[in-house]
Amino acid sequence: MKPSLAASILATTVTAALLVGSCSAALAAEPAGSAPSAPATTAPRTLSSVQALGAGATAARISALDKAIPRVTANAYLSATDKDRVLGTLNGDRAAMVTLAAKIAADTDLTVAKADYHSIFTGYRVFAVAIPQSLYAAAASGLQDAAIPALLSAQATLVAAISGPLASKDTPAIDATMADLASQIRSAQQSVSGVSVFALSVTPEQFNSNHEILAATRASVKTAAAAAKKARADVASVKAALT
Amino acid sequence: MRSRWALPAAGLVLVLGLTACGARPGTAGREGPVPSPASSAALPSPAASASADPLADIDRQLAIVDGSAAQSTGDLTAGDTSASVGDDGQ
Repeated sequence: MKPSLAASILATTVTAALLVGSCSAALAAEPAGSAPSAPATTAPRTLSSVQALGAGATAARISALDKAIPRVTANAYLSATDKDRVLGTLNGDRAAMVTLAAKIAADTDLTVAKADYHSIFTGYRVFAVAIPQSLYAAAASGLQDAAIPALLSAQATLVAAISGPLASKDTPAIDATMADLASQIRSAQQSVSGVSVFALSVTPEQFNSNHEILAATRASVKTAAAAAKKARADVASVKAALT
Repeated sequence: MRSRWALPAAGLVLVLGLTACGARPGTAGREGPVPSPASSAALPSPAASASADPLADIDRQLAIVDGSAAQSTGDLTAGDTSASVGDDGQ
């Protein structure tokens, strides 16, 4: 196992910790001839060890997909088209994991088993692409179709109140908060623009070539979500000040 | 012998007594419950109050924002976890 990889994995969540076995095994199962990365690491290269690793890796992905699929199905913000696309990917990956698990278990040749094992990762990228892209698209759709329109409506309501019946309660602090509200809504709109379309377009092959391909998308969704959260707080603050 | 002022005096006492008890002359025996501010017919109806409140719709809009956030925040964290593992773990 590469030391940096081990440190990274051990520092992450329990979910990631469950993957340590498969990660270490994946590296251990690299094709013969690759340089050993750590002297202390035992390298199981037997057929049975690869089969065991394959069973664990596929099971972890099936478990994650079984959690993601109902969540996507129940999501109220994904469009029907996007939901069909996401569910097609997730259900397809799940079926592929089941098939691969059975094939690896039945493999009789170590080289074939290793190739099948690596295809769990390179062919599907369940954890790197399939599940994240569904999450980013769902979050972006929720922001674009629900949260931002609601914030714009609340902003209009507050502007009307401040310039009309509640004008006597207006203060410089309220004006400053209203200015921040406008800024946060703009930030959310700009950050989330195009995110859903791009996230859903990313393929495992693209990730294999560029492991950072979804990094900007993830950052954009986080920025938009944070801006929407701040805008929500601004709305609540102004409402309280006017009440 | 009864004074010629006896009857008017008795009437005056009666009026003063009723006034001290919170009643108005001429209304004794017809007094109903004192209307509370909340039940006063002079106040606008709840529907009228809602339409008159310039901030009435804010809570509903904030609830929409909360509903959207509830479906995305945890998911994004999960995405971080998924993306944080090494190449062959993905």
